[in-house]
Amino acid sequence: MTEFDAFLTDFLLDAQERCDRAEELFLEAGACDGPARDDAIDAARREIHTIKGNAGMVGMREVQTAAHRLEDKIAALDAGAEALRTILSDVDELRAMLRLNIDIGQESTNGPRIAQTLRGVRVPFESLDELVDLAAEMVVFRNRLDDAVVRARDGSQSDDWQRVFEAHEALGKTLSFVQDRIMAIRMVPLRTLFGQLRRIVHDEAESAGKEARFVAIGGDTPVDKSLLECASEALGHIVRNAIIHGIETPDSRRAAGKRIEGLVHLRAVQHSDEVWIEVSDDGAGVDRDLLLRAAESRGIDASAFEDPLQLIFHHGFSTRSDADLSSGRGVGLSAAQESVRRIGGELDVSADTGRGTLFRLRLPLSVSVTRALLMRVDGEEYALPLSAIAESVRFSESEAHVINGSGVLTWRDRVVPVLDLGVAMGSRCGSIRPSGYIVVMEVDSKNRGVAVDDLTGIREIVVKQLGDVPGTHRGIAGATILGDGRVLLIVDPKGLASMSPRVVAKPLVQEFV
Amino acid sequence: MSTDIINVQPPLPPSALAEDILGPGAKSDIYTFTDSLQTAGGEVVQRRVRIETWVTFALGGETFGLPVTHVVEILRVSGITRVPHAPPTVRGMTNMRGKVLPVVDLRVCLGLPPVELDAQRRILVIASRGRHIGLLVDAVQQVERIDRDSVQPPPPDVMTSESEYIIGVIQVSARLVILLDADRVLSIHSAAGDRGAVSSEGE
Repeated sequence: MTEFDAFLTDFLLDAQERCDRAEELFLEAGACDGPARDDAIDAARREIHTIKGNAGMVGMREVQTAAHRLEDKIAALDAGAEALRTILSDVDELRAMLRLNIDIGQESTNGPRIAQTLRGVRVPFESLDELVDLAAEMVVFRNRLDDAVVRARDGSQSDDWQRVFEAHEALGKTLSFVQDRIMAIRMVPLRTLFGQLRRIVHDEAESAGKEARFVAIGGDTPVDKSLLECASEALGHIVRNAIIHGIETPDSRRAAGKRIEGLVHLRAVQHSDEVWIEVSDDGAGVDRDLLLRAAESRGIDASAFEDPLQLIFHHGFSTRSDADLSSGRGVGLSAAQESVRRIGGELDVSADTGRGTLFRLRLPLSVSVTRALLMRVDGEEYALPLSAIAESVRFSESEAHVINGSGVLTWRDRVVPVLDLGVAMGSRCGSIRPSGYIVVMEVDSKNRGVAVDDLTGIREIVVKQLGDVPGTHRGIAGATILGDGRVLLIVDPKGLASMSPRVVAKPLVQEFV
Repeated sequence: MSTDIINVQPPLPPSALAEDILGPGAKSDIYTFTDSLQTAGGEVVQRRVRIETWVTFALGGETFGLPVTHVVEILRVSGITRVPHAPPTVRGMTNMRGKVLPVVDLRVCLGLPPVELDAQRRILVIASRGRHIGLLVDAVQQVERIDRDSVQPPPPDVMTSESEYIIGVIQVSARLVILLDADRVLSIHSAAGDRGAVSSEGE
């Protein structure tokens, strides 16, 4: 990237941010009147003016002209809401023009996608992702080195070893700092979402002929950028839903004795390592009978839902017979709930007929995501972190042997002890299952096989601690919740490797099925 | 005292949601008033009456109760994952809105045989000091107002090691309700108590 390219990129990103700010100001202007409205419009005009000036400097005549025209329009703006609406679409046009230039710039320099940060250096989000992965890999190597250093030093009084040991320890500490800092850089304040949500409220209300205002508090809560994307999608659906299905038309609001202008209220609060976001509207709430009728006409068995309200999260459910651009396909909220669950959060709803709807979104602030292999054993399912797996092999009776009561497998010309996962987890006793898969783990540079019935997939999982669950948790690292709501246990490779592969000696009694 | 204040709340269907049973109002769980009684001799005696709200549920043909103050929520059973190496009273764990909730089989706690899960069965979520635990019961019945003074100790000859959870019994509209001690159930199933060796330490 030449110096001028970098300059150009800076301009484009800056201009985009200014467009966003101008858009927010226009929306604000639409929500108030008198001097406040004039101030907001004037502030928006200044943003556009700056874009015009900068565009001239970098020689983007096209952008300069567009900004100039927009500025003139703003100066001539009258009090009507209609005028604001056309201004917003002009802002969109300007933004599209900027985006086009960014795309062209990207093709020519073949550079990575440029992310936006609030202040300071702009860092592509991809490089942060890479850094996170690299740091995680370094932690793995450090752990491996841990054992080696301790073992090598064992008994040795040599000063050299002492120095190695100390340096290793110091390196480990620095490494965890580095990891923390990288994670912190990925945190962005929740308020970065508010602009686009305000826009959705504005646009949807307008196309539905309704009046609505968006009020948001708690925007300072920092959230991991990767989670923000999921939150943005879910909140977008919720807010859209609030306008389309919640807020009534001005006439029915007047008849119900409500303020003509509906209110969509977002409140975010941080609760230890989670952010709880509530989105409420003061609309008509949800008519449960209508939901039940709609379910019936779509052939959905509503009796499976403890509250008809839950139907709105059902895939393919919609109260509308026609699908339009923004809703009616019946996939929005169910998809949102699923993606929220995937990252370890939860989305639910409550509603009072006539008094509005309340969505509650709970998200973790950051993620500890692991890739894991899902395995089926005796009708149960477990997850095993991929980082511990060397290979999985299919086996039948002739390939697994029992020596002195322990299972063994010949793998890569070596004899590897095999543990039956069902035996380890108490769902089976006696012997290794006759066929299925053996997952060969590598733990502390030793191999250990784990016999299971079937492999059911590879999934990104969020690790949750078992915490309050009583028991010894032997061989279990934690639990995870799948997209469909099922709770799955995560196998602890280290704990499992330390269990005896003996299958006949000590059968584990199963207390109940 | 007069029995007419018992069962002032209409009986709720077994499928009633937590929100219905534990909605605002029901939470005004304890109230006291002074009751006047006329003895056979014509003397008027005054007595402080303490009324508590309890959630009743079925378990092996009997009716049991837990104080509404401890019951946070009532869940339908939607998949319980077995936890290996857990005490026999622990049925497993379930998903409570994104959190992992341990589920204790109250049948096993009380010495009854465990049974298959069916549509009637519910999980009563009880909480104390920030800890949550789910109690698997056969079916949730209703919310009862009971007079604390009418609670009788359980007959000594039916007490066994399983009856450590029982506070006493009370007669409510011709039915015997066995009252359970929620704190006792919680403390017996505290995870810290029985987690001996760390799982990775091996045999």
